[in-house]
Amino acid sequence: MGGRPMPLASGDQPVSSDTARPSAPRAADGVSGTVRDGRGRPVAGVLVQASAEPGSPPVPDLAIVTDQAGRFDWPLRPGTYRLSAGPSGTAVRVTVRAGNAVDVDLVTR
Amino acid sequence: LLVRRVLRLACASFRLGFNIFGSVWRADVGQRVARHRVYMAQMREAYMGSQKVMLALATLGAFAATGAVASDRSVSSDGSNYVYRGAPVAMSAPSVGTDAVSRSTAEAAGASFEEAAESSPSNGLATVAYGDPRAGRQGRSIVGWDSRMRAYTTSYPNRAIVYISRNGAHHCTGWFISSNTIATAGHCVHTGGSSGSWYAASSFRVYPGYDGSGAGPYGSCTVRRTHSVSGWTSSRNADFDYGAMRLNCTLGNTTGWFGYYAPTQSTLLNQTMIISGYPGDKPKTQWLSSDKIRSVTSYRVFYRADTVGGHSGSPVWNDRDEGLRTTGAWAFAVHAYGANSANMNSAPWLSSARVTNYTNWKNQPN
Repeated sequence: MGGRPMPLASGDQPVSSDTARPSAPRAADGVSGTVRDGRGRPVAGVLVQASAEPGSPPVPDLAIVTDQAGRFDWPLRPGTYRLSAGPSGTAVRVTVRAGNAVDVDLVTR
Repeated sequence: LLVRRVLRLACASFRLGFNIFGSVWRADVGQRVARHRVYMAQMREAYMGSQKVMLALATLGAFAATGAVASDRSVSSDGSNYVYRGAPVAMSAPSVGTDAVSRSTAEAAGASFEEAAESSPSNGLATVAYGDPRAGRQGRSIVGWDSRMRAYTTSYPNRAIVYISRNGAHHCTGWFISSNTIATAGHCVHTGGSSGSWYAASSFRVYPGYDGSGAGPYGSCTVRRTHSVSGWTSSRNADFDYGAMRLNCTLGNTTGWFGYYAPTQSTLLNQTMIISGYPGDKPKTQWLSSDKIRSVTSYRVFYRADTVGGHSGSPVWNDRDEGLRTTGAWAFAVHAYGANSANMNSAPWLSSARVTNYTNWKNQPN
């Protein structure tokens, strides 16, 4: 299971900054990641949307769109969010802690 | 003969007396006029002084009322800190523009006709299920059913709303406040907080009234510098999440621009509001929704008009032509956040301090 991270098979898999892989240096905390299709291939140009869990800060209404490598950066404040990619992507629960960036894979169909 | 001499003497005496009295009277009147002029000048000076004091107190009061002396302090991406030397203003009037655009006139105004990069080719025109109560919790700030309507972007004020791209991908929404300045959210120009950073001005391109394909009806232009406030760039405080962009073109003369004003907090509740912008789930098309202000805090207004990621920076406005006797759209808040736990979207509203910041930003020389 080493090497390339596997795409998430189901929604609601918790990810926290404590256990997340370190990502490239960032200016602020938040969530980074890659959007893949059902066969694990990166998908470009997908809208990644976030919604705040109760008690978490509100989500900026930015358009976060994956680049040519399927990568995205979401500058979210510390809190717990559900992230999904595309209109029918599976939601993933992510916890952001102060000073840390979370790296997560999302699946779109 | 004696009678004639007496009469002549009487007339001469009367003339002499009249002249003496007249000169004294004229001198007195002259002195009175002079004194009055001095008095009026003193009054005018005192009035102007009191006005300056009152304006200063009003400004301070506005800052004090919002507690925003520090957090609303203006900052700019290029380190400039221009302060407009005119009197503080509580509003700025809108313009409906000329709309008489041709490619050559737009290019003369600094626009170019680059086609926007495809931002969401795999998404298509996604729609949100009608009546899906969970929609607001799925990352879209659609509250209840999707009430958005597609906007005609060549009519005012929709043509004064811009699609903002960053590095060729959809990023945010903005709106003209002058010929060359647009208002937007703070997080559209800076990532927020002391560990955050400015997005490079050169990474942006704005498309007024963009509508689906091609280079856009008015072309596009690049960004010279960006602005926000310390409450966002130092503290990452959602209450202070607003900013602006200075453009390298004057397309606002063609599209027109929004007026903006500082309402009093007590008048905001239940006020009708309209929002129009560029949601990421409907690529490169402008969509409009409306509601009323359902909640107000010292810094933000809350509403259930539908928004989606990409709507950040959209104008929240209403029609104030009755009260202000000026036609056009008058903005009073800058949309910034999707649904909170109460399923309401939100925007920092324009206090006097914020109106002053926007006026400084639009009046800053190039």
